[in-house]
Parts: sequence; structure tokens; C-alpha cells
Amino acid sequence: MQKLSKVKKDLRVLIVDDNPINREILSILVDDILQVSAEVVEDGCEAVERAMKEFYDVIFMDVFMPNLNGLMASEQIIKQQERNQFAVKSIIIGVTADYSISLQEACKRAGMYDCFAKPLDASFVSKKLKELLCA
Amino acid sequence: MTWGGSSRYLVYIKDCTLQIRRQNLTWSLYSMLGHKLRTPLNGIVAPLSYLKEESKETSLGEIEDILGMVYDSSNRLNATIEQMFNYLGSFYHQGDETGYSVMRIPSLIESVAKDLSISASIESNLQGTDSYINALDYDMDSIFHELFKNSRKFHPKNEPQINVTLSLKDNRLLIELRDDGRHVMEDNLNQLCTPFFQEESCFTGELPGAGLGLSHINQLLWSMGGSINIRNRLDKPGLVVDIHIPLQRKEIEV
Repeated sequence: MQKLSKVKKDLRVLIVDDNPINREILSILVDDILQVSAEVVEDGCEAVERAMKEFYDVIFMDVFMPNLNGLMASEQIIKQQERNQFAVKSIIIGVTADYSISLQEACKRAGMYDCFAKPLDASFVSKKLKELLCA
Repeated sequence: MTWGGSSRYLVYIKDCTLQIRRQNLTWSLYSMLGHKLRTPLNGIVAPLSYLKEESKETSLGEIEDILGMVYDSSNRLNATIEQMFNYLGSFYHQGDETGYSVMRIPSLIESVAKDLSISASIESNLQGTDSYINALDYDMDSIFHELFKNSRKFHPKNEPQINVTLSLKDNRLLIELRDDGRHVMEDNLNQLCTPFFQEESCFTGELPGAGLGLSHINQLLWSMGGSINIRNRLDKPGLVVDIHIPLQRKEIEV
């Protein structure tokens, strides 16, 4: 299992969501749990563009978004990182209100590390992110 | 089955198109319902669970910001639930024995346009008629509010010019509403009244509204014996909505 090997302050986190309130909430949680200031974008296209220029340790990816959805954006980001032979790939965590088994499978196929169901619970997100952090 | 020494098979072919369509519709409804409700719910549960964990270390200013988010999300959830109940309520439409005078429609349109600050012109050919339709005030108000709000939502600048023509033909009230917004892909036109349908290649759930407005209208009109048809304007970008509602039969006075 890939873990976050860097010290907390060096982590780079990207939040991708078309809903401003959801972006804000995740930013607060990330700031609180990982003590980093996350960057935010509004859709899959922007996420792919940003991830081509910069490396992000963790990407929170909403699944249903306009222009380019989270599944396709994740696939593109991972393929790009594989093509460029990155030693470590971004950990992409899907965030979705449709938590059906078929969607969980689709998230896995798209290369996501995990998928969180909305509504998010702060203690659940905290527990999951702390599991990712190496002691 | 063996017949004359050789094996033969009897194959039944059954058309399951409808079954598959129903299955797909059920899946879409399930998926959209989850998305439409859980997205605003996320704006309530996530910040409140954070406050529960971190309230002692959160400043008053941050708490105010978080409560603002919760409040906005609650309003959005409330509006979505309200639309769902309106839609479900339209299945129990009872009509009104006294009926709704078609002569009241021009003033209703003016009032809805004023209420929503939308520019609308009316061409009425109803002068002198004493015809009625089987509708409640609420039904007619909902229909025009929903149509006008849709015109605004899909207008590039949210400032549509709406033209409504009212006429009677073959014992039916004809309402033609034209806006100057945008066209809809031909394939999508007949799906606009499907519950939760949103005219996008993939739904995002981020279009305002629950995706129930037109299906609510469709259901109300159905219960009045009427119908709705939506087509693209030929002369310029925009849509034409045609509504037909049968007139109430006049009782013979004894």
C-alpha cells in the first residue's frame, strides 16, 4: 500500500470539486488533519492541467463534475505520471454522493486509491488520512 | 426436443426493451436521488462533524463561517426536498369542480413575470370566452413559475424575453411559450420531462434545481388531460413550449 512518506508540512494536496461548499469543507478538514493548505480547482480539466505542471501527493477528486468527470481525470493523471515514469504517483481519493458498488469498481478501475462517500464525516476522513501518513 | 430422430430447439424471443428501459430509469433515479440529496447533506454533516470534534479549538469567526455553510446547504436541501414533494404531490392531483377560468391566465402570466423580474409579452385570443379548465390556482401558478424559471436558467445571460400566445382550438386551450435562450440537442428534447433529466453529456448535479421541474409540469398537465411538447425555435436560439389543455365540459342547467 502506498503511504505518504513526506513530513506533513511538505505535502501537496489538490481538491477538485465543482461545489464551492464542498471545496471549502474539505479544505478545512485537510488543513486541520494534515496541517497543509490545499489547492482547489473546479473540474476535471483543470485538475489534469494542474497535475501536469505540479506533483500532488494527495488529490481529492469529486466524481461527477462538468467538462471532465473525476473518473476520466484520474485516469489521465495516472497515465501521465506513468508515462513520465514518476517514482511515486499521486494518491487519488474519490469523493462521491453515489456510493454504489458499480461506482466503487469504476473508481478502482480509474486508478483511485480509495473512495469516500458523501456526506463526509470529519472523524472518518481524519482516520483515513492518518492511516495514510507514515509514523 | 427430439423430432424425427434429430434434436430441435424451440426458441422463445421476447422483447425486453421496455424492461431494460425501466431498469435504466430506476438506476438513474436512484443515482440522481442520492446525488441530489447527499450533496447538500454533505454541506451540513461534514462541517457539523468537524465542529463536534474541534469546537474547542475553533475561533468564533471560523464557527460563524462554518455555520454559514451549513445554513446555505440546509436551504439547498430544503429546496430540493420541496421540489420532490411537489412532484410527488402532482400524482394526487384532484382538480377543481368549479374549474379555472382561462380568462385569468393573462393576469397570472403578468404576475409571475413580475414576481420573477422576467420580461414577458402576451398575445391573447381568449377575449369574450367563458371557458374553464380542470385546474387549481396552485397548478397554473406552478406551471408558469417553472417554465419562466427554466427560461431564465438556460438563457446565456439569465435575461430571457418570453412571448406567450393563448388561444382556443377544438375545445382545447393552447398555450405557446417562446423564449430566446438556447437550443437543446434534438435527441434530448423528448427527454426533458423525464424526472432528474439534465441536459448534459454526464450529469454533474450542480445545475440549479432538482431536475424535477418539467416532469412536475408534465404530471400536472397529464392529470388535467393535457400535454406538453418542447421544440427548438427555427428562427433563432431558444425553445418553444406547446401546452394543450382540454376545456371543461359545460353542464346542462336544468
